Amino acid sequence: MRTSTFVSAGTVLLLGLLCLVPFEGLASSPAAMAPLPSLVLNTPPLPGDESIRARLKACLLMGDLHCVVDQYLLLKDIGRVPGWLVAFQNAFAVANQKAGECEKVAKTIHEGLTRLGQRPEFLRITIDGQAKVMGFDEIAQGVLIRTHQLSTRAYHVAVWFEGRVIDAYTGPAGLSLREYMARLNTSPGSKIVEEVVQTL
Amino acid sequence: MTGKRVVKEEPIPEDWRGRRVGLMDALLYARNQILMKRGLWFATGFDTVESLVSFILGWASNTQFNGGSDQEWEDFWEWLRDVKHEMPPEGWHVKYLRDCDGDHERAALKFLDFAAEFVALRRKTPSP
Repeated sequence: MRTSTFVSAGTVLLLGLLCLVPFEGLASSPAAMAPLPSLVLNTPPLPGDESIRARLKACLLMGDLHCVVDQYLLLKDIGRVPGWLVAFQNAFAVANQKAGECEKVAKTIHEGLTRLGQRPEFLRITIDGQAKVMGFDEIAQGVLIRTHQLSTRAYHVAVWFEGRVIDAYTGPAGLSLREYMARLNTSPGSKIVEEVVQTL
Repeated sequence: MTGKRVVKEEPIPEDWRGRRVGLMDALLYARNQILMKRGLWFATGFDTVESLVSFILGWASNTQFNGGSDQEWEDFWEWLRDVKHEMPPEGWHVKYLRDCDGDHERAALKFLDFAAEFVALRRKTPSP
């Protein structure tokens, strides 16, 4: 990335955007989740503009999949959405909010993020206790709608990316660990154990 | 983050501490899971009324196999049969499911409401 690239792009606003986006090699920097001004995202990049990569990342962090797909097609100058990217989008389908699907979903999300140039990890969640109950709250407007049975074997896998937990229940924007754990439940006397791993 | 880390611990309810937790307590817990919209499965593993029957048998077996007894539970059983007349020969779960038009959650809640009613009566005026 050279400064002259941005000057030639002529979009001073992008400088503001870059402050929000960690540079290559600093992938573990915490994600800035402030909403981006619509003017930034609506300004079309010139051909060869390095900002496409930055836009792609910004869209990823916001969980805007349409935008991710658009920016990827632009970046690679292709017209057809590749299979892994379709799978990445489909990983967040409601049908995947079911005990037993988590490993497949996590692998699909992990592959998608990796191919999009990111460095995701896996988050393994287990229960230390006798009853082995694991539930995830579905909340709408601050009210508990129901608790999904996350697993029948006290084992769940999600993706750990930029300080956020991502799975079929969180959607592509994910949740902070604190928010996620507030919604993850087990029975009295049990402990929830997490572990970040590179492979499953 | 590296290695395994305990990230959350679900405490034992205040009301259960320092005393023996019996089957009636467990039934009130199951009822509460339904009332707070978590679902019966959170206590029994499934949302069917039969899962509550199995849960009860499992809990009672554990008590009995360990040489213990649970007087409050036995008293509830007799109260349901002789006072409420809600312990039919076909099985309470069969009748309650029919009473509730096949709605498993409502059928389970009907049984658990009786449990709550009994506990409220009994614990307010303990028998000598």
